[in-house]
Amino acid sequence: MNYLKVVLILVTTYLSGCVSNQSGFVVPGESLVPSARYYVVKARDDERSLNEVIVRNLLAKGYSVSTGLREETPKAADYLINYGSQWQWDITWYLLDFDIRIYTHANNLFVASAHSEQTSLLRKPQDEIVASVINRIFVD
Amino acid sequence: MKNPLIYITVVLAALTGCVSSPAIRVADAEGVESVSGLSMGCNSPFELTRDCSGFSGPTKDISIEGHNVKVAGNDDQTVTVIFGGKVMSGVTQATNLGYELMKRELVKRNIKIVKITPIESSGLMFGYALKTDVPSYQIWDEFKN
Repeated sequence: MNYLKVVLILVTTYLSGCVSNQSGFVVPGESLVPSARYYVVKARDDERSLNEVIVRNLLAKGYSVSTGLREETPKAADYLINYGSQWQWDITWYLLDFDIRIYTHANNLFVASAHSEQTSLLRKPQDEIVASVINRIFVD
Repeated sequence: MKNPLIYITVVLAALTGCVSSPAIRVADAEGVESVSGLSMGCNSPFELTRDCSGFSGPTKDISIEGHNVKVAGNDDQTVTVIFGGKVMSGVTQATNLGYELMKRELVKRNIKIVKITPIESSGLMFGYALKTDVPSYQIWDEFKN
């Protein structure tokens, strides 16, 4: 019986490391339409070009999107997409936390956000994480 | 090599130790110096006299667009400190979403945020302190849970 308890504790402890937490939020009354023009603002601390991954995913869904520095934001953009990433070292680097936040370009009003958080044991690749976060708020 | 075990231990510690890059911040707080969430109190550094506990921080529960956060304020109601949520479950994202929704509410009322201070510790974003151009803390009474 004691042996069974030990095994259960070990299994529970192990599984608790395989956790992914994702969510998406769109402000009630707002919507993200494919006909709008989106601009992904490259994050200053992004050394892995996640902005390009976001663009690839949105283009694949049929959205009109481009990317670049904040200073280069096109006047015609309807929405700005900011993103953030937190990387963790645990033998290798992995994407611990990732989010995107969407604002209207005209008045910088927050419209929607989505995020993903994962533990070291799960460590999904960054492209997969970005795709799943985008799927939280952008529909095909 | 006097004791290989020491070297092996050091290497293993370096390989398995979890080093994290800084927590994700809202764009408004990029490049801004943060304060430690573990060392701050009600009196310092924000002089919080409204809805603040020395033990748990902000105590007023509010819900904006269905998102729950806790807030505390200073005497003249120009500073609001927002804490995002439970430390064990997505506190950084809860904090950042809470800030964005509060800012949206302030913008609607033509209130400007003149200063934002991130409150973080151990790679987690616990909260933000918002200073506004006019008293604004009383607004959050409308959103009380």
